[in-house]
Amino acid sequence: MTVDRAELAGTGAAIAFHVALIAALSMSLAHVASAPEPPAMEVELVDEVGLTAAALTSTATPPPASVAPDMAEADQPTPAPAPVPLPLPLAPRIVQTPAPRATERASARPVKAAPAPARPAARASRIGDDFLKGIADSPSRSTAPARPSAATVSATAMAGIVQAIRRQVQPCADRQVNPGPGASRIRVRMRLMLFPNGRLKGAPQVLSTSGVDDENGRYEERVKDLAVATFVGCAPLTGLPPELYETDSGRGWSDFIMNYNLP
Amino acid sequence: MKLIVALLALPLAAAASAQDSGPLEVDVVGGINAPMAIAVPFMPTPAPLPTPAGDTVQLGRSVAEVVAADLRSTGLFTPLGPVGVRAYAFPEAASPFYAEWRNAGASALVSGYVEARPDGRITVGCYLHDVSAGRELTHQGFAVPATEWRRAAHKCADTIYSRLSGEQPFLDTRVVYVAETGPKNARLKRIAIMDSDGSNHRYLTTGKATVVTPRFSPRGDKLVYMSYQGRMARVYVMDVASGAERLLIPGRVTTFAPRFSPDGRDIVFSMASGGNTDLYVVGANGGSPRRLTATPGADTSPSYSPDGRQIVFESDRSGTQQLYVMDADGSNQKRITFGGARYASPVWSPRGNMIAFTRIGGGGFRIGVMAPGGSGEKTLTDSWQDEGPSWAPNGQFVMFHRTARGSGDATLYAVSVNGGRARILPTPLGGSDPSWSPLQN
Repeated sequence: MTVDRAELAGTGAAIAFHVALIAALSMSLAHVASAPEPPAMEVELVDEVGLTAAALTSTATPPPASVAPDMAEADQPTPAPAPVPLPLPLAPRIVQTPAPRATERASARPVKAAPAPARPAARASRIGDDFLKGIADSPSRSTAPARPSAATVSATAMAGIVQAIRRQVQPCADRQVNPGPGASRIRVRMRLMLFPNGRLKGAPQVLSTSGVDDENGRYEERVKDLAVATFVGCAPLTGLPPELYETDSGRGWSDFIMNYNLP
Repeated sequence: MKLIVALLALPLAAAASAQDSGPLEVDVVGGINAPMAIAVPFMPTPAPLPTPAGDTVQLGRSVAEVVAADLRSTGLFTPLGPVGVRAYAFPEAASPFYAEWRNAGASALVSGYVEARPDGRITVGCYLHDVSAGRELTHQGFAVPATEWRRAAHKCADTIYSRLSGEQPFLDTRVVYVAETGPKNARLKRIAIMDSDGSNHRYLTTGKATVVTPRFSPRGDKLVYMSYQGRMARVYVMDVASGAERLLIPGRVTTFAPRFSPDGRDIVFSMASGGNTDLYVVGANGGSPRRLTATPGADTSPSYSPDGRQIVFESDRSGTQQLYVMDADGSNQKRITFGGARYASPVWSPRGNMIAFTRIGGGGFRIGVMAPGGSGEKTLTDSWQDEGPSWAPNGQFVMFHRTARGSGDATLYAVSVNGGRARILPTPLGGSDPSWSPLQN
């Protein structure tokens, strides 16, 4: 193959140009990556940049989302399935007797059916009322928040959301029991979609697991359970800024990823 | 040329896509290493009816008690109840009020019911709920003769244990052991069998002849053991259901330390002949034994790997008791223990990943486990005299007997391979040489 001088010059110029681009972009990325995640309570830039959602000092009127009902109970209207017969060659054998269904409970325990609306009172928000300082607490904003453009959502604001979510689910994560050796190497990636009031739109969707090997493979299903229980047990999320429910960049808290693992 | 340009462009594209794209991600790390609080309330009945084992109300209480005891015995759970937790009505078995159980401090809930059937049997419904997540994790129903309600309870507990631990079930199993009574120098030794929680206890031999080392067949329907009938130590095979026994190798030759192969077709054992003790294998129905070892010294306590391809055994051919592994045909014999102690009574794990043994040294006998190659030795107990390990069918627990200093009284214990305190298996008399059955069907 022969390469003439013009091609060499062109190739050299292209290489130089791309090296320069890579260097410039790397510096830019490095700058973004090195941005510190300040503690939530230290955020002071709310009024200056207009991202009132990141303000973490007090507000007089909490948003309506803080009184949303408990997700765990709200999303289980389907009747419990009847026992599934499994083969057992010798006695005792599995039977096909229908299990009692959820609908039967209402008639059997009418007194118990009533307390459902009272449940939200038991689930207090795990972040303080001061989380939303600076948010104009108009009810219309929580139901139809304006979408901030990608350019206006700062890394600090996103860090505030991440910390707020983590702070609310951490108590439930800390209650999960490690099933056995090696289970802490399993990492569960789970998609969560929320209503604006912080309730789950549907069951958490486990996207994938990693870190599974021969030793801990038998714990994979259980760690998935723990990931789901971690979130559902502390749902609904409260006090998240409605402005950041959805963003043009797709990084709002309406639809996000939770990565869970045991310590 | 185009290739060069394309390669140069790749990192740019990747870098660009890494910027501000993708959904918000939250990393959460949390959990504890502690027994799980699991509520096990009494099980209700849709209609109180009499059965040969008592009425269904009482059976619901008894089933819950057995389930709670089984779960506690695993060391993984702290059962709440059945005494002291609130009762619930039949319809709530499948649809509990999660908030109430959460407030009671439970992470999980076992609910269910006991129902009399028209055919004279009972149905035990068994549900497991994740209280934190507010959802059902699994359910099973078991139809049994009313008198076998304990089996249904063990199956329920196995369902719960297996779903929450990820391990194979092991609670619906039996244990054979040597029941001991009388003074040390004139002890009566009989083979006894019981459920793994100590219930349904009965004796299989009369005690006229001393017996040791009973071992289950892979299906749990036969036993092989050594008996001193006729003042000769010889291996016998017994049918568990009928109690009928037969001599494995006819003649006046000393045979001992027997164990079935994983497929149940063969029995490997030690035979003393010509002043030497070697390992032999013979068909489970008898026949001509085939010699596997032929070295000076005593080769004994053979145990097959679960795939049947290898055998671990104990030998003093080096001058002290050590463990060796060989192929099932006797070839490729190699020593695996070099830990500076003596090692005895090896047993290959049903999962194949470990060998349990008795470690003799430091003034005591202790139960330990190691990888089949001899690495990763770990001691599970720390007492004066623990010996005779036997694996649970799921390979997560080891049963053994502990001898008391002075009295020589022996007691059965079980310990997890993950560590923790050994728990006592209560027996009417002293107990030694346990053998854990396979999971019952």
